[in-house]
Amino acid sequence: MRVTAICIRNFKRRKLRTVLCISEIAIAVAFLVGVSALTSRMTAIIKEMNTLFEDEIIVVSRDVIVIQGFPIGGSIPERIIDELKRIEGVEEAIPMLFNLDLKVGGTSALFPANVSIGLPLEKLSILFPESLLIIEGQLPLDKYEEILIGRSIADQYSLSVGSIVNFKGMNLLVSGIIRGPSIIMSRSIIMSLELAQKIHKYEGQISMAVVRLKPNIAANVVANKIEGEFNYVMALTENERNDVANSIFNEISIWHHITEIFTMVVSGILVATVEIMNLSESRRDFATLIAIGSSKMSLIKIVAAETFLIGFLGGSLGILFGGLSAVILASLHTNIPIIFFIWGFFDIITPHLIGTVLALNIFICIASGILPAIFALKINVSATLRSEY
Amino acid sequence: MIETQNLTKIYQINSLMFVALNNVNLTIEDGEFAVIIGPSGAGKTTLLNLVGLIDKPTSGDVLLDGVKTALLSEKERREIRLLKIGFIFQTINLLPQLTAIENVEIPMALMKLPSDKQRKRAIKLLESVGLGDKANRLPRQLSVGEMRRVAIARALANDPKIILADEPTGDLDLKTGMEIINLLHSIHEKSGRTVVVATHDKSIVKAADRVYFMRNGRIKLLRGRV
Repeated sequence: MRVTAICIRNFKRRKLRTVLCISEIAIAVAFLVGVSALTSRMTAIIKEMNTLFEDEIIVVSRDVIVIQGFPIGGSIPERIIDELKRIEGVEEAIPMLFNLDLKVGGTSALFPANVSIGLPLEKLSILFPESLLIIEGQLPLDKYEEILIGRSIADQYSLSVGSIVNFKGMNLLVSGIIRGPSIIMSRSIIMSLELAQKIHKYEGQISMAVVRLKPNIAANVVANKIEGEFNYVMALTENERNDVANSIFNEISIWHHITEIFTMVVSGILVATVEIMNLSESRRDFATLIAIGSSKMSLIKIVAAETFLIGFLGGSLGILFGGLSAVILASLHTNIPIIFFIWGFFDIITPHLIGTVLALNIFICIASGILPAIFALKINVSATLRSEY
Repeated sequence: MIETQNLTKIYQINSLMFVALNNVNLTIEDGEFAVIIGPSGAGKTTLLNLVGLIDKPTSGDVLLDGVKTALLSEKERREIRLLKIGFIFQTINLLPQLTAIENVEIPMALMKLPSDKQRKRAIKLLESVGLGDKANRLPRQLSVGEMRRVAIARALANDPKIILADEPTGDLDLKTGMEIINLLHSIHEKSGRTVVVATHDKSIVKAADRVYFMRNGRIKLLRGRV
């Protein structure tokens, strides 16, 4: 018989209360995990975009929203490419048509259902470093009929190199599959600029131009020149794009912390309430234990063991339910079958998130239980032993 | 040896002062079976709580084997309670979520005795009080007399030198009460422990070495060496 084993018996004695408390904590933690998973996924996507087009200027239509390198909607004439190349300090200008699948209502998906990118295929390396671009198969040879697809799309639709897919009414040959760690690439359909313009009905139009600078040329100077020359475009340097993204990160971070605090306060109040009830009922038990020689520290250990178990069980269930909720939400949001997200469960619910949430939850639960215990143990033992219930 | 010197306990409830013990002096030698009798409210339980170091006196002192306890730290008092004193409470106070055997094991667990030794000794103690076959029952599955026996077994768990029993027959019928008294006598005779029983049941005094009478917080020796 261990003194801490008494806590297990306390659980059995108060089954319903314990189950309710654990369930309530599980719900609170599930909420936190679900929100955290989605926001961290969104942050990861934006951060990945942040690695794109470093040191380069993005030229987009003046009225569009730009998330890092990519504009949401908007178009500029393709002929601007030749004019950009003539600007002093510009080494190269690459046209690109970027199309992010939009959901009904116009909200962009946290998990993009798919991203189609059209660009001159010989300039593919502008998108991702060679190390991230692992292609199974080959680059499209016929620029009007062949495409590259990401591994997630290939897995979802059981496609392989040589498969024919019908995309927006056109039969296209999958010439290669992009394998690599990139989240965006895994959901991308990459094609020639001409094919993208045809499919998305952007003839003569592009959504953006990537301007590569000559060595030792200040990006902001060139960007100002571009904006001065073409009044219908925005020329965004890396710093300007980061400023936009940082405000999003800050917003996410603030909401994340608010959620975290709210959830932990809810968990703490729940545990404290249950422990106050338990301690109130256990006053005579504690008095008995003190009278027969137990130290107050031993009794605090019992309470700590109880609250640790509540926190651990509630936290673990919450992580599981929260993870599943995030997976289901992601699936519903993107129409990608749930099984693909389950395989990537630990990409969504990262071990870091699990560790942080569990540790924080257990800490809050123990603290919430021990504080009332310290007050409860200031009892008059002899009076408590003699008192009638 | 148990000795009290001018032991006084005053309870204050709001502005009211209640003198529970008034300059109580008593001496109980090692190995004696002492009985403190008196009506309800006489101060018997208060006296036992003070002798058992569960409570602290307002003034005066309790000496255990010549050691003045008033100046001991809480840790030292706790160790004496755990190692030297076995307390049988008036209200029994078994832990309701634990079985009989687990209740008996608690004092040994507090001593950090290995689990297997705890279990062996607890079984032996329960058998000695006639409850070997009910070791795994919860308190609610036992009669009051049986619960009282478990409480006695728990008091003996750490082989204490002193057993303090507060109204051990208080809520029992005559027959069961006699069984408990006989059990306490048997423990006293077999082990030579000091047993102090506080009761208002006069039938218990027959075989006592020393008998004190209490009323209104004062004590008087009725029988035994002065």
